[in-house]
Amino acid sequence: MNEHDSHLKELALEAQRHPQNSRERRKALTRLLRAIEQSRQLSRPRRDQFQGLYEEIYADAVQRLYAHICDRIDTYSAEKGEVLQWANFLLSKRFFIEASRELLPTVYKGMDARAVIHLTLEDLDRENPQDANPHSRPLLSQEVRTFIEDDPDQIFQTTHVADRPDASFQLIALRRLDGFSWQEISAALGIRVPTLSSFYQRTLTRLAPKLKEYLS
Amino acid sequence: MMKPIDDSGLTMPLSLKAHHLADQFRQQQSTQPKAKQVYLNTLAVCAVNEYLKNLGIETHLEAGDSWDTVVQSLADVADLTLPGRGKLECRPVLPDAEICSVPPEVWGDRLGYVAVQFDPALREATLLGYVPSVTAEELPLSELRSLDELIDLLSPAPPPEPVHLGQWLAGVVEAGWQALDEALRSPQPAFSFRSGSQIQLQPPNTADVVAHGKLLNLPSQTSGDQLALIVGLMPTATFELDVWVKVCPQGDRTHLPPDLELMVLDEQDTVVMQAQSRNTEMIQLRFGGQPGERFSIRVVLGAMSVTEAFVV
Repeated sequence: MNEHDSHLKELALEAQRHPQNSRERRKALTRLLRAIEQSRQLSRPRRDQFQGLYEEIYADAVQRLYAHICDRIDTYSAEKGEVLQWANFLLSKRFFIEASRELLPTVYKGMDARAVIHLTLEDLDRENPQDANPHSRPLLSQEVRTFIEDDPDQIFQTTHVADRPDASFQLIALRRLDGFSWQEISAALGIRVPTLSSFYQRTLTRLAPKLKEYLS
Repeated sequence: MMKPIDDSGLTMPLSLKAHHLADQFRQQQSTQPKAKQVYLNTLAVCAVNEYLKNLGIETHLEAGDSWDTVVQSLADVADLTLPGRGKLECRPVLPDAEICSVPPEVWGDRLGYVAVQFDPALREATLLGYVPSVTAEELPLSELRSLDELIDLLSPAPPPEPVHLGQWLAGVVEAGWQALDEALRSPQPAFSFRSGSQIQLQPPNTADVVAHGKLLNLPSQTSGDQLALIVGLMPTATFELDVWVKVCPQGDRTHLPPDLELMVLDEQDTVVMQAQSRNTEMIQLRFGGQPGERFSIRVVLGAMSVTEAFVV
């Protein structure tokens, strides 16, 4: 048994010593998951299969494994072997299979694989959802904007920062939608950022149901 | 592979489900920066949600502003609702960033802020740590506190250490408990608390008695209107200890408030003895306890209660 294995075993037994949902068990479980992850010794079963979807299935399987380890740490016993043996057995014999059974049908149902495979940061920096909107149906965010601009019940222009009728919710929301920073809006109005933002937050919480009602 | 910046982070996989949700929300946005923001906010909330669920901490994803496409459009928000507690803000952090951005619209109304760092492929999320509050838009990652502190915030306080009655006989008494035995032997049958109030004590007439008292902190009481809890014990001929528990009025009060209840609970928190005041001068319960036996005493007045744990 190497040093790493004994560290993992120690953490697992430490978690077992404390009651479910106690601080000490939660801390020990966090350390255990971190140590398992940093060991880089979780197995990668069936690497030659599920081309194109392997990483997604694997991520789902590891997530299930982590949930199981946290929920069922009491079922680990040192006599059964090392923590990594226990985890890798569960990962390949149970959770990888469960994950593949759940994820594969979504692709086989004829869904566009592009729509299933996840985006990367690079994709997010490049793609504008509107470009992939061939029918130019109005997006929700555009409807929100239009409604705030039109303000049929005149609530957005009449709700304003105390004693500052010019600093209305309508003006602040539209500036934010146009991409102005809080500092820029603050400088233009001569109102401190925390005053503006807390007014905005409170008003948004209050008016959001009205917006939803209109847009639904 | 991304490494956490120190030992306190935790890296978890991002599932396809999280990406799928993030993409649905993103599709509602009409500009690239806003779409990216909504996507990353959703992933950050999902990662924290997964972690808390693993630890048995209840969450309600759908209740958050971050799950509301209207609010998403109008604010940079990544909140996660913890029923009965409040909201945790889950802020996304880019792979090589050294700061976490916390927009002013989420400065108020939060239990805390968790920083969640991604790898460029968005396959993993690392929960870096948390802060209880913020006062600026840029939070340096070096100021983050560990996940242990987040667990302390979200977990029940550990039960207080029980008072060890066996050690009272050896003269070892926990802080907060005032010795009464000396007072009993003094000519005046009274004992002064540091606060100046007095406990009147009349235990069984024996020299082997050890008794200690403390003022009860029942929040509904007004000052000068205090109650004292007194626990006394005495060795018996067997290995059992004779234990009695009393509640007495203090200060200007001469009688207990009506409907004050005194209970003894066993280790399973089941009430095994109970007494109720009817405007009496004091109430007392008496029982035998074996060494190592655990019990609690609970004093209830209206909606308020105080519980003290003991081991014989």
